Amino acid sequence: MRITPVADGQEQFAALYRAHRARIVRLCRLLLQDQPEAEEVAQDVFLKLLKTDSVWNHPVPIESWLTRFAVNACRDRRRSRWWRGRREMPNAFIEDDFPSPCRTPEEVLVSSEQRERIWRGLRTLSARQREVFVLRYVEGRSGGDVAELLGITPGSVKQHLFRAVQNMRKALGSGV
Amino acid sequence: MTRCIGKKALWELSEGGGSEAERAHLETCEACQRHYQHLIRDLELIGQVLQEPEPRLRTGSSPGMLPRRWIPAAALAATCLLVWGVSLVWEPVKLVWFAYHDKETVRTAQMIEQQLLPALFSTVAEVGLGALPEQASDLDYLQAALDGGWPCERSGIEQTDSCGRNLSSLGLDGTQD
Repeated sequence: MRITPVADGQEQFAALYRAHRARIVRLCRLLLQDQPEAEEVAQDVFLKLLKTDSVWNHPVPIESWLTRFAVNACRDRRRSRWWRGRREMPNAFIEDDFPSPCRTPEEVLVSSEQRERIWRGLRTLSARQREVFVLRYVEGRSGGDVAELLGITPGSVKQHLFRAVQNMRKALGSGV
Repeated sequence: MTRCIGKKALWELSEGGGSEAERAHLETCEACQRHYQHLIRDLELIGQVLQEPEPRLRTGSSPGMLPRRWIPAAALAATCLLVWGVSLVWEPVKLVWFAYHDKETVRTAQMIEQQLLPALFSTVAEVGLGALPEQASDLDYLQAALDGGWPCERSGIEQTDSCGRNLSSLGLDGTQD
């Protein structure tokens, strides 16, 4: 979605908010691993977008700006929440929260186990690995896009991404 | 290319990279194809699961841990605390030690006073002179000299009347306890 400054900017912003809020919240949730905090940060991201006039005139698509704002805001939030995060270090997922589309009890068990492993695996990734992994495999961005969004080289993206993939597969129990 | 493709190369192929030789090998090698399919399946599964809402976490049951960068500071603080604690415990020990040694000193002084001094100065006790007169002025000695001699010594000299008188005047006759 490409937005240019128009008189009815508020409507444009509202449309943008409706279209991207869920994605930005999900991205922040994956990066921060905290739903309430992710929602707060997403709110801040849209407020920042509203205040930054230059974004609207920039040739870069507004989605990219939003993603970049979100990633940076999550980084800032991670830095400031280290103490609280350490104090309330959670240790286990609530099993009922794993949605399972499978039918047999055995399949349900395997499936919820796999899900738990994946979420646990995501928590083991470093901040940078998590950023590149989420942007690449959840957001579906290309390696070049990820490099541009994070302000790092494509080579660095590859390196972090490969390590992240290895770690995630190891967490999943695949013979890595 | 005859050797099977490594993990990184396989992943690069999945990302659209890799060499032509690797790509050609992948098309012909069943083992590599199997690994490749496994990788793709894993990545799809992971991507799919991460799209879902994240499950809630149980909180509060695990003790909080310090971040690694705070460990040296925490260790230093713990050491200081330990040193302070030991000094607190050591102080009473020192006091007890000194108190014990003070008691020893007092006991030694008492022993000297009660046993050693009487043994050293037993002659005074034996002659029954008791303590020395508190005040024996030069005038008494002068008077004794004018009366005919020095105050008598006990050993080997017979006491005369004047001697006894002189002794009495000097308070050395043993009657003045």
